[in-house]
Amino acid sequence: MHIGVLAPLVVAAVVAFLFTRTAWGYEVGMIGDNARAATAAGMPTRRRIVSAMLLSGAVAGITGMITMTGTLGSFSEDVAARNGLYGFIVVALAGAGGPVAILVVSFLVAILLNSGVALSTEGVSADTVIAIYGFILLLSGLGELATRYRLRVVRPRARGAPPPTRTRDVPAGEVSA
Amino acid sequence: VSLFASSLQTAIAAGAVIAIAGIGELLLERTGVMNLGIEGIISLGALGAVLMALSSSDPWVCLLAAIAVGVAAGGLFGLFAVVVRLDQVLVGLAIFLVGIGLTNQIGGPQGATQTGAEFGSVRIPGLPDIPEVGEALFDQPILVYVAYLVLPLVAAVILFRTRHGIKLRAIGENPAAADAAGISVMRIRFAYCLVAGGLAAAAGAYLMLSFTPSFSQDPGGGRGWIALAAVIFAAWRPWRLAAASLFFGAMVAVGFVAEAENWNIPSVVFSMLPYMATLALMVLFVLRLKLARRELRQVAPAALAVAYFREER
Repeated sequence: MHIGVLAPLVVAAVVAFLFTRTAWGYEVGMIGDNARAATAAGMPTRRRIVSAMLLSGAVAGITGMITMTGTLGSFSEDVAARNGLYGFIVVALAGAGGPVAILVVSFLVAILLNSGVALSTEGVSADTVIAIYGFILLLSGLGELATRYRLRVVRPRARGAPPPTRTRDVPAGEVSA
Repeated sequence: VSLFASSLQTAIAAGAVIAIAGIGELLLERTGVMNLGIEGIISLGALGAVLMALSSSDPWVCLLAAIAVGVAAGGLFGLFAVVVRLDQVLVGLAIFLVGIGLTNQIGGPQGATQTGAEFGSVRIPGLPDIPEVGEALFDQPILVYVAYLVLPLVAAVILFRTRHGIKLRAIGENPAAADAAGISVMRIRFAYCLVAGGLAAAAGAYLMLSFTPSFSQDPGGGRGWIALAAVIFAAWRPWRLAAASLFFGAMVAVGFVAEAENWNIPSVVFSMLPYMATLALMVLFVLRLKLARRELRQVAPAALAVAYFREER
């Protein structure tokens, strides 16, 4: 273990602070939700977008630095591996939950991806783990979708009885694109 | 063969991959669906072609096998992204991981072996004798002509000259209106998921059967991502996509020239070149749109990457 493992906690804390306690974070969040409304409210939309890009670039840079100095101990051409891509996927999965959800999901994903090392003795290679990760992503999306529906027991009605008043299968406003 | 002729040859051959995969993605994006997984499907197509080449030396059979694999992968994408309507970005990346992982796992033992089946080049009578450009333009494998001429033509005709094309574009712009007009949004979107998957895999097969006929890890080599950028840069128009593909091919060719000429520039610069050129071109493209007082999002299909739920209409 190297001290770098604490970096995600620090970064998540800083980002959480920015988004919940500063005007900058509020405006960035608002621009993400509705850029036109934010502009109409007088927020400097472009400035905020570009500053958010700069910040995310800085955080990504920390990632590379920690990987090199902590995990690998030396520079390699492939220092990023596919971590940027995996990070992107973590956000797609857990981004709505904020920094804490991202920490948790990142940890789970890391377990999954690194299990390839342990599994390789069983004849399962890192490539298979990547493929399995893809399938898990698909199915986790499915699971998330399933939580928006519920099963309902429909009693068979007697012949001639009036049809039951229909209730919505999907709670209003919970299905999003 | 002069340096110019051989680099033109390289540019055309390297760009064809992007043109083939890009046309499929272009059609799909016109229906409002974005498949980020085409890099993975290109790899799967390459794998399908290589495995089929073990038992058949007919390149057409290998191409068909690859397309079948790609249609299946496109169907998987469509099932989750269009039928179940999960987030298209997430599903696309998942397909990418599945494609890359399966390809490298199953294809590992095929590493660096020569593909048994190859497309020969088709000489257009008389024309290859034109000095300098003749060989590169008129003495190419058949898939190169398909990539630059047949596919863009077919796509352009479908999009802009048929009733079906109007429906297709309507779905990409405003699926609710298209639905109200009686067009089956889900059916057409799903159909183009299959088309895009098949063409991406065909691009992978082209890599194995004609461009670099030996299998390696990550056979897609990032070309799927470039194809995605090319579709944007081409403003979702087929002929411009062919031109953009040729441009990316040329960027690849610059690296070959540098190697041949022993330019005193590190080779990593040239590996970066296609991507840096992509960025630069995107900037120029958006600036040009700005001059015409338009935004990129006005050029893109309005419903791109937005799932359509009839209930939310």
